[in-house]
Amino acid sequence: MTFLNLVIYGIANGAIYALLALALVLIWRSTRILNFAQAGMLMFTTFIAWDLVQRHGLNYWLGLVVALVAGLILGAVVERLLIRPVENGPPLNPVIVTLGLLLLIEAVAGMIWGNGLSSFSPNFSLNYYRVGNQVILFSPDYLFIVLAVLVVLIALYLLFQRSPVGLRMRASAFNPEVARLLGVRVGRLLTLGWALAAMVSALAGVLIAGTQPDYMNPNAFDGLLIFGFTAAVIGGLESPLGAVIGGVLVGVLQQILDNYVSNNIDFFYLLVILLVVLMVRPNGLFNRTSVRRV
Amino acid sequence: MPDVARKDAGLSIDGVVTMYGAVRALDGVSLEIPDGQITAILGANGAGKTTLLRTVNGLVHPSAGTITYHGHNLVGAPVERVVTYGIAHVPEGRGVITELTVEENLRLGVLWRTDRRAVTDEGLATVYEMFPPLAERRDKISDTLSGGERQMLALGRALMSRPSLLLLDEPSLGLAPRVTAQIMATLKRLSGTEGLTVVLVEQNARSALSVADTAVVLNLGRVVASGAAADLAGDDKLRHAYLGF
Repeated sequence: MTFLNLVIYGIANGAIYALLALALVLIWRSTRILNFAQAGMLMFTTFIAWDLVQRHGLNYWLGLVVALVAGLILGAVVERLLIRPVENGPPLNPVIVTLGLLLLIEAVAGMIWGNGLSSFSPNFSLNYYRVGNQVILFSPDYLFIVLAVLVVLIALYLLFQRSPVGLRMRASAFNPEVARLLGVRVGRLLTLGWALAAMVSALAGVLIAGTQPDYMNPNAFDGLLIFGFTAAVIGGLESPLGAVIGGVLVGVLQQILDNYVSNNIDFFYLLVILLVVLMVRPNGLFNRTSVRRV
Repeated sequence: MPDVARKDAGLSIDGVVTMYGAVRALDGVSLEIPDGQITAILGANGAGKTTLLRTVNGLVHPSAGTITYHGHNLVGAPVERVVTYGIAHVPEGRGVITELTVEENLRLGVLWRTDRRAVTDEGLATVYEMFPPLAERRDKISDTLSGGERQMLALGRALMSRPSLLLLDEPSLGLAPRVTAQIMATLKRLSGTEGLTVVLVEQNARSALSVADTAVVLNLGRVVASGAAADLAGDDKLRHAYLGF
């Protein structure tokens, strides 16, 4: 029973890592940039929602919508103002820009909301379900998280695979020059890609902030990015499906290792998982492009 | 001499200079491409053929000269707008987006059109009829296509946008002679029945001259000869000097 519980709990956590990985993949595959500012951007949008819901009594769902919209706008603005000018330069430039943005956003958030710890109460109970005497490590809040992540995944799948905008986005990511020859306004779609990625991670921010009291802090989400990054790399950095499976895998392995080995060396596990996966499959588990390159 | 002068010149290129760094890839090229004909652009490697197409398209910007197509100024126009003027470009080699399926590639060709709902199905049916191998593999990732099938796909995708001018860069490159002949025959038919204007860049001068109405020979970025395809093919000196057959 313990093992099953760990898997269930791991999947719930992994769902959030999956969202973060997905956001990284969306940006990586269209612009070849790893967005290190993601943790800061989602922290900022989560704080906006927190401020409205916890301090001003706004309805939780409206707060969530505000966070998502703020994510969309923030993503688009960051791409247009900060990323576009460095996109075609040396690859190190966007790295430095996103790292700089991370520091800037965290400092600004500290100035606005302070650096103490605050709680963002979730809309659903955090009490675990029980079956008879047996506690299941799964709460109504986690159920909401898993369902929300599933809805986002299905929506993104439909957007990318079934809609004209999605076809344009994929074409721009895979072959920008040919896409432009076919009349696709690649620049706009890059902006849209950043906006979508920021919205997905804004959702992740609100979801994770509710999972424990005193979670909120301008630096609280930095560690999360490392989980998301590991999940994305395991999945191959190119594949949205890989990101999701990578996320769940990292979530489950984390719980199992926490329980059976030691529970305070999470980042060491991540490193080991990364090393093992990259040694066996240097391009990640789901990278079709590289299979062809070999 | 050919009837170039009497036909409407839809695509008009005047005094175009295109630089790659310090190299003059195009050195004052002036051409009038008549509507409804197949014009072959011939020349050796590095003559400037591909650069000419890329300059027309806006992929590279000329440092001097003008290019117009039926009144639209093409110099400085964004690449993604050129297709809306009725100009479709089949780029050399990797024109197919290999990560997408055959049908997705074809659908992309028509996405810019505001009436795309009305024309997509008809366009797909036409292309599948024209190139049956594509119909069989419509749901396959185009990575799995052979070289000839990819060229068919790139050509079919360009036709999906219902262009009036088709720019083709080396459609015969790396293809079996039989496939090349098939593609050339398709071009000839489209130009005859639909009034499509075709600009065909080719190193394979023999096969290009066999379908073209007029031809232009480039050498080191300059036009060294132009005229009826049959006349150029019959000019032994020119053939030996620039076309290598």
